[in-house]
Formats: sequence, structure tokens, C-alpha cells
Amino acid sequence: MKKVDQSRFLTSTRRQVLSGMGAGLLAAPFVLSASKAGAADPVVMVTFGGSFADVVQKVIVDPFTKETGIAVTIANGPDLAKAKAQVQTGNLEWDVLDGSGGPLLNAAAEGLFEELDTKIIKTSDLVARATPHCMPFLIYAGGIAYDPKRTMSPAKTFADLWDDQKHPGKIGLRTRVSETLELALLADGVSPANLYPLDVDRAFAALDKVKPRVAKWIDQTPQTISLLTAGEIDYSYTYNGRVATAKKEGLSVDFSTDQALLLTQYYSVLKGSKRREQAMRYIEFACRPDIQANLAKAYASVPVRPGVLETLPDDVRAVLPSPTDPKMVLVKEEFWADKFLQLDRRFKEWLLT
Amino acid sequence: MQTMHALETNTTIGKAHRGRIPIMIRTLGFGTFLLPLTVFMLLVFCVPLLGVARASFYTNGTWTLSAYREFVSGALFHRALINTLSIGFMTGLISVICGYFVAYHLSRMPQRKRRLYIILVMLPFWTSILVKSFAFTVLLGTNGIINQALQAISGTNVVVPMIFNRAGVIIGMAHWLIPFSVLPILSSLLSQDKALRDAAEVMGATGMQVFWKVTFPLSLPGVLASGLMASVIGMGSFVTPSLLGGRQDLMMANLVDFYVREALDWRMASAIAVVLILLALLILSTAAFVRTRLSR
Repeated sequence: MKKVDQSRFLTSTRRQVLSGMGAGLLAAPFVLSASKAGAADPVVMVTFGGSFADVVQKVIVDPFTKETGIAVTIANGPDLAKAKAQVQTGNLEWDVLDGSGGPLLNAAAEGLFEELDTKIIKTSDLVARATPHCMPFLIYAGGIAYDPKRTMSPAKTFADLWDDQKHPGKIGLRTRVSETLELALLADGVSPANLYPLDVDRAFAALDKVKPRVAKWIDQTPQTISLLTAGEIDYSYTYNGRVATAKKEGLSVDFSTDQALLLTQYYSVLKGSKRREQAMRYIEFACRPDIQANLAKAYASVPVRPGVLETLPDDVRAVLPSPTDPKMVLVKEEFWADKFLQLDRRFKEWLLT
Repeated sequence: MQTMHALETNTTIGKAHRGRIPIMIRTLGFGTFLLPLTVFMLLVFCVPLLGVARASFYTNGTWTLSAYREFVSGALFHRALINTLSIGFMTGLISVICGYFVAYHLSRMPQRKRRLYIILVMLPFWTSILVKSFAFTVLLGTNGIINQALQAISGTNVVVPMIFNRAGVIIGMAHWLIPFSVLPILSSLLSQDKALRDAAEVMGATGMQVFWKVTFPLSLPGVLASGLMASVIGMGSFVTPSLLGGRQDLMMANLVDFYVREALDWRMASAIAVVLILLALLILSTAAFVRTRLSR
């Protein structure tokens, strides 16, 4: 009967171990949240990694910390789903989110962000438009890229691109509905001044015309460059920053500044941030004219404060699309805020048929 | 006491060391050792999965079937469902056919050489899809190596479209899933008794007859398992179709990705995910049923 005793001993330890594990599991969240302190910690700003994060660190974050003493940590990958999970559970990892486009405005409508504090941030006097929750801090351009070695007389406006008699060739467009509808209407001859509100039916009709020439509807942004350089497409809808990077790497790519869509990148503060005020001050700092000028020089972005562009040296201005050029279109995010989901659905179905 | 003694002598562990371990096994049973894993899986897999199922019914404080109603009535979802099934099935089929050749070849190798070759088989599995998609463009593209070779051989301007369409998706996915399909087939080939093939040969069967009458039927459970695994994994992928597919190759997992990360509509995303899981379960349980029939 000695064996029975032994088994009892074994089961009782097992129970102890399990109950210990259970207690540990229950206690874990408290330990974790206890280690998360409040306002004295650095502001966490989530943005896109790589060379862009380096630029932001040098041009915005370092001078901000030097002036205010507020530390800022840069996190990688501004995923809106993660932001939503953080706000829903109240367990915030990020304070400031860097985002753009219809999905961001849609997220703002879902209540993921704090309202901008207009006592700290000046939301008027901007080239782009601020929304109650999203502050523009950078403008970049989306337009036509081509290989100058392969394409001798390239299409430089969207209307040119649609003209397959004069400018034949295969095209790469994006799988996102915003930007695509705008460029289709511009190609169809709508004047930039009368673009909004978008004539959606006309946009889809214009897309019908170009559909057979689109060799690839691109979902993953790196392909906008790689397919062009591999010769799979002759024209690519891509972004000026991507083209600048590719050129630096020695690839034969050019970006047309004759006509482009101007796209806004925004900063927003996550709802419930413990460092709300510091976050607002960071955003205010990022939009100051001198910081905007430095950002334009380092990243070839268009400054969001009016008058700054004119102060830039000529060589920087040469590669920047000008918001005052009547052929340029500043994409109006407000249009997309409540129509993004519905139009995206229609666009996806259009692609499938 | 007698049965316990029998158990002890029957188990190999009992034979190896008559010490503490067999006593633990006797008193606790083998099942006990599965407990930590079971608890772990319950906590980190089943509970979140139930959360997903709940999210598909429960939004803004009310229970609703709206997501499923949208799924049933939306052309977008029907197309995605059909694409998912057909791409999954084709991928499974092609992975199994290619995988069978590889597994058969491996099974006839000396063991040491086989170990090295298995590592080679696993290589595509460890390569990033972004890098691979770039390589596939160079290989399969309109200006790719294969098309250039075809043009040189035929002396014409022939271009076979192999990328940014359904073929591209299936090539890309099969390339990724062949390692998955090789291993189950290989293990079922290796577990076959060589004496059976010898016997068949002694009875006068040709090499082909040995393969089709002995080797292949005996490996069917492995073939089925690997085909299913490849299909089900293929049905859940979304990066490969978006990189190598055409505009009509949208899959259900692409929609899940969109509704989770861009639309932030987790109700719809969860509903699509639940449909996808049920589909996978249905296929797997049908196969389990067929498999028991086969092995009878």
C-alpha cells in the first residue's frame, strides 16, 4: 500500500502546482499594468519603419525632446486594428499614431482618437485640412512613375495615361478605391477644381476603359516599384518618396510632377492616452514652419504650413509638386470618411467581374 | 496488481528502467502528461476562437445575424468563397502530385543522404514570400526567363501568361506548400514493409505493377493527409494571392485582412473567419470519414 501513498503525494503536488500556476495567471495582468506608469514615461509614437523613421527621429523627435524635455519613443507599424484593440481594452501601447487615407478617417469615426486640443495645436492656417481628430503633418504625392530608358515619350498626366494611342503600355494601379477613383476622373477630363464630390459612376466608367491595360492591381506597395523595374508594367501609380528611394539605389525610374494627387499624412492621439497633453505638444511641434522646412529637405515632402514651400532652396522645390499648381489635386479625406466602406465594396466587386 | 505488473512489463519504458517513471505512468496514466498542453491550447487557442465566434454575432451591445446575412446576400463574398475553394483544391492537388515524386525519390535514398535532401525540400518554406514573389516575377513574367526561352525556341513573340492570374497564385502557393505535402507521404512510404514489394516482385510483378498495386494504395492515407493539409493551409492564405494573383483572385482571407485592418469591422471579419473555419472543419471531417473507410 506504499504505492497508494506515493500517488496521493504526487496528485497533491500536482494540484499545488496547478493552483500556483492559476494564481500566477490571474495575477499577471496586474503585474503588467503596474509596470505601466503614467505621464512621466516617454510618448510612444507609432510610424512606418525604415528610412522614414530615421528621418522623423532626426528632424522632429530629437529637436522636440531637446526643447521640451519630453522623451518620444518610435514604434514600428501603425496598424489600425492594433490601435482599435488597444483602445477597446484600455491597454495602450501607443500615444500618437501616424496614418493616412480613408481607413484612418473611418477609424476616427469609430472613436479611436482624442479630439485635437486646439489650445495647443493650431489647426487652421494649413495647406491640407485638419479634422477634429487628425492633424496633417506631411503631404506626399501619388502619381505616374515610368522607366525613362524604356519609355521615350512617357504619359505625364492621368489623361495621357488613359490615351493608349499616344502612350501605349501596361499599367499598374492600386487595389485601394480612394486615390484610384480620383485619378480615373482626372483621366476622364474632370477639372481638378470640380473633382469633389466625386462622380462615382463616371469614375467607374473611366476605369472600365483602362481595365484591359492594367496588368496588375497592386496591393503591396513595394510592387509598385519592383514590377516597373522588372518590365512587367510600363506605368505605375506610386509615390514620390518611393521613387526617390529607388533612384538613390540606382534604378531607372522617374516620377511625373506634371500631375499628381497630394495625399496627407496625419497624426492622431489614441483615445485614453495618459500622455495626451505631451502628445498634443509633440504634434504642435511637428507642424511648426521650421520643422516642416527641415522635413521637406530630408524627405521631399510638401510642408503643411502655407508659405514654407516658398522658403525652400530651389533644388528641393524642383522635385516637390506644388499644392498651388492647378493640375494638382489635394485628396479630400472628408469625402471618404463616410463613403470609404461602401465604395471599397463596389470597387472590389468591380475588380472581380 | 497482476494487470499493473503486465502493464509494466509491456511498456518499453517499464523494461528500460524499473524506477520512478513507470510508477508515475501507472498511477497518473499517459493522459496526464497531455494536461498542460490541453490547458495551454484551451487558453490560447479555443478561448480566443470562441471570442471570434462571439464577435461575429455580437456588436454594439446587441446580438445580431447581420454579418451572416450580408455574407449570404453579397456577390463579393460568394466570389471569394468560390475562389477560396477552387484555389485551395487546386493547390492541394498540385502539391500532392509534385510532393509524391519528391517523397518517392527521398524514400528510396540511403538515410544519411535523405536527411540532407529533406533540408533542401524545406528551403522554400523558410523564404520570405516578398522575396519569392520578386523571384517569381523574374521567372514567370512576360519578360521572364521562361517566356524569353520559349520565344527563343519557337522564334515567335509568344507570351504565356503565368503570373498575375490564377496560374500564378497556384504556382506560388504550391511552391510554398510542397514541403508540407512531402513529409506525410514520405512517412507513409517509409513505414511500408519492403517485404511486400519483394513478394510482389517474386510473384512476377513489373516495377509499374508493384507501384500501382502495392506501394501507391498503401501510401493513400499519407496522400490524403498531405492533400488536405495543403488545401486547408492554402485556403487561409492571403499574401501570395495578393502578390501573384490577378484582380479576380480575391480570397476569403484577403477579406478578413481588409475588414480587420482597414475597415475595422470586426463583426464582418469574424463572420468570414467563422465560415472559413467551418469550411475547413467540414473538409477535414469528411476526409477523416473517408480515411477510416479506406483503412478498413
